[in-house]
Amino acid sequence: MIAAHHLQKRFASVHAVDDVSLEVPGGEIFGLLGPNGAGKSTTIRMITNIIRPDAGTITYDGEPFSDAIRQSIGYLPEERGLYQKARILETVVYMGRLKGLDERTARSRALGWIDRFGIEGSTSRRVEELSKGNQQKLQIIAALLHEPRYVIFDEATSGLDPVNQELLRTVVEELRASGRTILYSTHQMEQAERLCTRIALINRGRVVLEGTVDEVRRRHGGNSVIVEFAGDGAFLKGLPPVRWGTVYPNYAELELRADASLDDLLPHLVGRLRIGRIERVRPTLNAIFIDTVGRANVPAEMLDEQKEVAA
Amino acid sequence: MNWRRMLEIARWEYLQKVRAKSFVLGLLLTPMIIGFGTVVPGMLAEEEPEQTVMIGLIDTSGALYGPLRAHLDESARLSSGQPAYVLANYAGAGTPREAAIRRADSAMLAGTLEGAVVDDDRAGAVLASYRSLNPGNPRIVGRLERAIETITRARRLAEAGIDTAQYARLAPDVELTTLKIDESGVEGSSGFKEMFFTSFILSMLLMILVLTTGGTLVRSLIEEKSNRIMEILASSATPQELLWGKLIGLSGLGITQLAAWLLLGAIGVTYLASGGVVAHLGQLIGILPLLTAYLMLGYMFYAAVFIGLGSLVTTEQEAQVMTSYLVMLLMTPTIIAIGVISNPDATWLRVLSYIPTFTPSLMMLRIVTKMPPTSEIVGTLALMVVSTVVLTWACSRIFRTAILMYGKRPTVREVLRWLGEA
Repeated sequence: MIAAHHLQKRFASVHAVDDVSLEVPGGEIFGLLGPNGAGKSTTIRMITNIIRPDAGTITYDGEPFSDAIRQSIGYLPEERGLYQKARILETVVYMGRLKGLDERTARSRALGWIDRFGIEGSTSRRVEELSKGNQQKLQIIAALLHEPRYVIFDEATSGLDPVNQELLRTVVEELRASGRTILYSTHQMEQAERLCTRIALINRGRVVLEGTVDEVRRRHGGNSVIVEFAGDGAFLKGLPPVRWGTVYPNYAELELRADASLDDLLPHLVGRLRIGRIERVRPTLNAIFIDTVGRANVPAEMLDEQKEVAA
Repeated sequence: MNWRRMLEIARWEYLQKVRAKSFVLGLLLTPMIIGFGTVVPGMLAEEEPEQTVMIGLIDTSGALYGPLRAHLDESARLSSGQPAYVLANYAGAGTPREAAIRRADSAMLAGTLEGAVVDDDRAGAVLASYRSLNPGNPRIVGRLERAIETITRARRLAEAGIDTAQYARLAPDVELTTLKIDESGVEGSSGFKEMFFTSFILSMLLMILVLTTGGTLVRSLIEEKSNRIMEILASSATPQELLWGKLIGLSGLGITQLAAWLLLGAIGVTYLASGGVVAHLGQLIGILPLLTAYLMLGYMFYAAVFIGLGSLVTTEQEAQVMTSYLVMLLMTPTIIAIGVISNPDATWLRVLSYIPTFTPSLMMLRIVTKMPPTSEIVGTLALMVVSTVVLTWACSRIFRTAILMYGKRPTVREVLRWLGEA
């Protein structure tokens, strides 16, 4: 269990993290969610002891940070790279050595992982000769080589192709099953919904939602409706029963007012659109997030991203 | 500080950089460039041409042709025994001077004539001029100059009624042998040239050593920052471990480079150098420990500067700007090296010797030229040690914050604040 209490971090003009508290239990995959710039990476950098919080405490299974803890953290940073001119195997071995492994163990484990991840060819090639996907696998190996007790992945899947995303998902699931403490940060809500058992949602340096994914969903029963249609649906957002909505060319996600029901919505649609499907749905984490912080406070990219996903 | 981890970082830094192509190239190329730069021009200047060269002569008086031809025939021969210079007289009887010059010029343009000596009408210091497509050839110009000088002197001696042999006997040929003495009573011969050369090489050595390894270090820091490897490193080791690991790895790199150059130098001296150079180097052995101390301290001092400033830059361009400022600092002692040799006890030199950026080069120059008082050696060494420690401390403060800043370059005020932070 990693327990962070009342973390504060202020950079010159930005209050990056403002009273964030998290409890990441062992044996679960804890999703740290939020848009870019919400304070996720700063929180993670404090947990990995790369930067110190201005205030607040972090404990690891009850212990304060120490060199032993440092060596039991496996960290995959958000933007990442490797020494391009170095050799494949020696790079991974070096990372493992920094985490306290002896040369022989590091070497044999590295070869095992390289084999499992299907990185083919000589391991004495230079890193730059590997494809981007294989370089990412190498980074994941480097983060896990010392069998860390605390696994911290920051936007781990960004840039991974679907096959490697699946591979990573399997690995993370294995780590969870073996009781590790896993903190998984992402801005992709759908991914968190599939992978995480527990989440904390951060916006502008503050935790705005916390709990298991089910709890969060139940708490925010929501009033979401999906409409598939043909025609120009731009008017949907402005209808009286609709609080807010996102309209795509043939598809719309609408959040109705709390007292409104499908019956209130339907009369407005008849005759104006050809409706293919209309359905009440459980809100997505994305919808819950937008609902919680208010549309005005949602960074534009979160709204845009939703479009990308739908497209 | 986890020593094992720090040494692991040092080992990685050393192995990665010692294998880099740029390092291996620098290792071999630098001594070659220094060697070529010092030996080859001298060799070229001394050597006679490989082929007979045709020189034109425009001598309206007719007095120069005979003696000049005789002198050149006598003094300059190719290795094959052929004369090195053939003289062609363009101003035969009655040919006007201007027309002869024009004819000689067109022969030069046609490539048959290397150049032409034109006798001067007027009497005075300049007795003749030399015209050529390539008038800067020091070998030919020097040869002709000496020939004309000898001929003219002989003529003037004859006119004054002095016997040439008598003149040669009377004319003084002075050359002062310089002897360098020190407290041990040993005297060795050490000319200005050798002294200047040794001093110059030493400060150049420090500069090249600092720049090549420092440049490698800054490039790798930029890579670690732009690739975000730094993020992984910072989560695996403390900034102190990273800093010292890098410093030690870098020092290993410097020692490797120095050792390789010494080896190459030793080979070079064994096979190429004359006895004089060997004797001169022999004199250096006694002061070698002191020179090495200054060299290593200077190297550590600048290595800390490179790490501190290098952690602030984020692009190659910024690194180049930074490096060029450091080059200026490193070059300064080399530029004033002549001043050191002509007056090693000057007050301004003694003051400058206490400025840490100049201490190593200046003290090495002064030790080779004239051993400074022990108090100054102890003083500068102590100051150098203290300032290196202080600087390393300051740079580690900058380093630990700067390595985690990406994209944006910090302001001076921010850097000063980091120094104050606990």
